[in-house]
Amino acid sequence: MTNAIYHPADDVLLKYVTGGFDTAYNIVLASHVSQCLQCQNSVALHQEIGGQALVEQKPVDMKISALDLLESSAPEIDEPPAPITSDYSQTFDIKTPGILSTYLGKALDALKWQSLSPSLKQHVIKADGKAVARLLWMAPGKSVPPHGHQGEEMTLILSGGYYDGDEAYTAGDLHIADHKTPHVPVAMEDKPCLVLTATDAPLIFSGIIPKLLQPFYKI
Amino acid sequence: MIRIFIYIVRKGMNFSQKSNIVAINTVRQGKVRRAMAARAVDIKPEDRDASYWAALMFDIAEKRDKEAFQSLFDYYAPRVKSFIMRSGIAEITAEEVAQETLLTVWRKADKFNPTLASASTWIFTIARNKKIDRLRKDARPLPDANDPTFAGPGVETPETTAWHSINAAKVHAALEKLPEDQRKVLKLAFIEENPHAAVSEKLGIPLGTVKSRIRLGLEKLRTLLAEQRGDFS
Repeated sequence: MTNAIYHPADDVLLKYVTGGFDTAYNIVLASHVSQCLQCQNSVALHQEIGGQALVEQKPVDMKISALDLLESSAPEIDEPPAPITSDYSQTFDIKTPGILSTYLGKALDALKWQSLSPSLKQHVIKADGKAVARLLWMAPGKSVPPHGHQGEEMTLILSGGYYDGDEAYTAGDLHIADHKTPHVPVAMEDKPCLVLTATDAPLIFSGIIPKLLQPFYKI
Repeated sequence: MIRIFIYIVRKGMNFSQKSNIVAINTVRQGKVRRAMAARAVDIKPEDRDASYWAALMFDIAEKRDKEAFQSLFDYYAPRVKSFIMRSGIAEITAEEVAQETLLTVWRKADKFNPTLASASTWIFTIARNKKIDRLRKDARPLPDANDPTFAGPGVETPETTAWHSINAAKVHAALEKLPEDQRKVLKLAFIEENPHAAVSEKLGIPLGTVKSRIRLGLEKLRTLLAEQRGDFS
């Protein structure tokens, strides 16, 4: 459990609970929620309201009876439950949220990283939908090139921390940025910063070189 | 004086005899009721509350009781279907999603934990996941920290067992105490595909009002729950 200061707001959790987000955002949100007691309670509250709302739906007749459904269904295959493991990474000195591990398919230390610059690495996580989730690694004190967003950028800090303007985000915090004005996250000096981030539209880089590189890096 | 005393004693005896009879009757009724309702399916409709649905779930999980499943199906499947149709999905697909949902309920009944959520909430969450599965190509499980169909050694840490300070009955009670406008907006928001916009259109109130009513409603709910528990955040 973390002592996060920044949490998703209720409108974000509502959208999460009702299934309004692409998988990429779900990975980020679920990773935060799985480590945050406060948000687990909020999600539970939201789900209870959903349950109440379900009961109040005007029934629409089913075309099949319960027994026919059981009769006609394929025999139960005992599929092994999706293994949810939580790896400890020596490189990053963190325990990966179990849900994130499921999507990564391997331990953090075994991932292939793509260098965007000497101080910036990424690993893109394949997920259904148009939004993209990725791990971003920033060297201590270094920054992500100034960028803005057309869509929402949702970032969970996994290790280390960064400053963005007047705000400081550290492990466990969920940072949601939907502003079009460029922002510049700068990693804290003491150690590298590892984040899990989801975006639903390409970032808008202000500089010419990142702009030129953008098509190659799927950012 | 003595007469008065005797009168009081008699009265007292009468009273205690009466209360004994009441007590015996209550016990009898209790026994009868218990005998009649050895299985949850036998509980009368007017006595059905969250614990009834939980008991059905238990019978399904432990006894593979098809009759219990039938009762659950008859109540929930048409509501799940209706819920799926509200997000603009065609009836034929909604029927399939409702069937898949109830089949999952049958198969994963042993994963249901009444201390974590009410049956309605559990089924709501499964229905929501099935709905999203329909809209996705990806076969992997949805990354949902509270996904009830996620089996195995839970998501994280020992706190997972402690986190559910949310109690279905209390949430239900708290919801009933909300001002009508907030309750209406909140419940609609959980059913509609695009909550804020859809609620705004459906109720003919501005988007900002929808958002503030949801916010106020949730704040009020949290306050009500905190009053009951003392430490809810």
